Amino acid sequence: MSLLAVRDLAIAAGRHLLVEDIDLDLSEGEVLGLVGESGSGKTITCRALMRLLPEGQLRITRGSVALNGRDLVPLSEAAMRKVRGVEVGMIFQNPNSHLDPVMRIGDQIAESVRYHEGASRADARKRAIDLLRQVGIPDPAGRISAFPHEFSGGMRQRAMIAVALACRPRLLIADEPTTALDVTVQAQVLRLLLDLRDRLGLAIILVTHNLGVVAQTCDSLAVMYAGRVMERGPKRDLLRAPAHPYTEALLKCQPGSAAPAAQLPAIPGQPPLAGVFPEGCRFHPRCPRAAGICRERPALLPAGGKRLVACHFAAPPRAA
Amino acid sequence: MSAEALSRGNWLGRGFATLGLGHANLNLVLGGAIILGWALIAVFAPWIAPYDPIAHNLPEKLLGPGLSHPLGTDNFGRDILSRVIYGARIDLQMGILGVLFPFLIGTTLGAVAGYAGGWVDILLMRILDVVLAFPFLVLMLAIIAILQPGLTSFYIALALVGWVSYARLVRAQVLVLKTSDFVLAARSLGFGRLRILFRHILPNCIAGSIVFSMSDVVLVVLAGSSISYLGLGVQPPTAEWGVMIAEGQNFITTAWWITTFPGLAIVLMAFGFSLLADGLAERFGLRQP
Repeated sequence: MSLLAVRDLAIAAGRHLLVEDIDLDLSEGEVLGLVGESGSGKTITCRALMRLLPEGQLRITRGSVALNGRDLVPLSEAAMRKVRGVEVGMIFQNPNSHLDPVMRIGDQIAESVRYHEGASRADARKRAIDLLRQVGIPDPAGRISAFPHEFSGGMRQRAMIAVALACRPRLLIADEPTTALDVTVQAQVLRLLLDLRDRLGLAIILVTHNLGVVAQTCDSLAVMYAGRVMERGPKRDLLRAPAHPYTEALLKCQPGSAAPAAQLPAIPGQPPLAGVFPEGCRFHPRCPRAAGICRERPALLPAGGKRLVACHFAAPPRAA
Repeated sequence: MSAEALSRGNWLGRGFATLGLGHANLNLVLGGAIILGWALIAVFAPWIAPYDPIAHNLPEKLLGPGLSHPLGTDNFGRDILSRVIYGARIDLQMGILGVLFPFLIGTTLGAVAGYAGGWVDILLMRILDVVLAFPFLVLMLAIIAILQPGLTSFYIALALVGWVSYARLVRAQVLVLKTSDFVLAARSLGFGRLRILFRHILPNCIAGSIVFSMSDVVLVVLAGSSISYLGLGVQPPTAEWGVMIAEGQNFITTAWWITTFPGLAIVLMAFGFSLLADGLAERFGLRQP
């Protein structure tokens, strides 16, 4: 059984559906890359998985998020609190602002251990030191009493990972964990995440708009556009032979994919704004292969192997 | 702080630095020293004061500052120096307790209003508007007059009136911080609302209130002295600076020392707390040094 199974998830702001038809699967030790442009709904999808959508603004309108077979969507807030931090950890884009600036690093790690597991002060402290060592912070015993501002950006991101993993969750949602870091530190943090995956059997949802990051780290991939999953499947298949025109266009836009002297190709047009999504396939106004049938909504269907594609031209599978 | 005072502070600060005291926060050091001085005087009053602050000694009444009575005596022959020393006990207590209760009440109510929002916020803010609609001293006097003159009534009145400033200050910051990133991160760890409010949001917005409380002490000491002066606070013959000024005003033309020295004591204590407020603001990074 898969660790996480998201089915038909839809998120709305008032009457406008922002995100719909989200289907994701994740098993133990798997790294799933959630890729898409800014505004494609990656972050709110992640926050919906944690049931942390901004109150009164966004809500889940349908679908299920099954973690170890238990649906999180109907859970009460109190029950959800026992899931957050304990079964699912979350790390964020900007470690500068997502750590409490006036609390010592060690206390921030220890807090959830004491809160959720009722550990003693001494045990929680031991766990904090151990976690800081695991995320590769030198002199962890000396560093637990440091404040976030005494850490560098990379160290803060490591500390945030330690905070998120304090209660040993099985699933880590990483919302653009490397975007705010410089390139060398990015690689270190990604290596750390993979290392933790190997040692702890952690499953990771890695949100990113950087296909380079995806190529290095992920096992499988889900490409989002305008609030829908366009294509998902094993990373190797998607990167080598994208089946959806959007995935293909996205790959072509990567620096280095075109000839060195040539101008970098771009996808013509702008992504649609939430609330005024086009009828049918949401990518069709910008799609080079668009035809009349694209005004009808394509379903996310199997397209050979483990791949699912939401495009009229990808299904039926090539094998047929 | 005015620009002139600021530059003077910097100049003195450099002086400190050359004296080998490092780049000390001059306001903090000086203000702390003054308040510590007053605290020591208050604690050790019975040992420091040369005379009994209350006992009458009519043969020596209305003596000017001199060798036996450094700051002179009042119309009952009581030693002004001793009374100023004993007065520090009352005035320091007034300053601290008179700020502590409004601080605690205002901070808590403001934090709850800002974080809870909705009708809780609306209700608390309307009550706050009602309190603010009255002039501070008038409302204080009314409440004290209803209860009964005395220090206890003074503290109760201050708690009822003074919390509004803290509540507004804290509420505004909680409103900003409750949507901040680290609060989202705390929620992602499964913490409850109360824990997030009191362990994560409040420590991040308390600095402004602490700084304000220091300057508020000045106002409270002055208010306490004013109310004692009007006969509704500390009752004679207790030595309190405001009472001393009130009693001495009939002799202002003939015996200036009776009113002047307690007045200077009030100024010096207020000065100490203002420096402390400035120093803390600097230390907390709320203001550029």
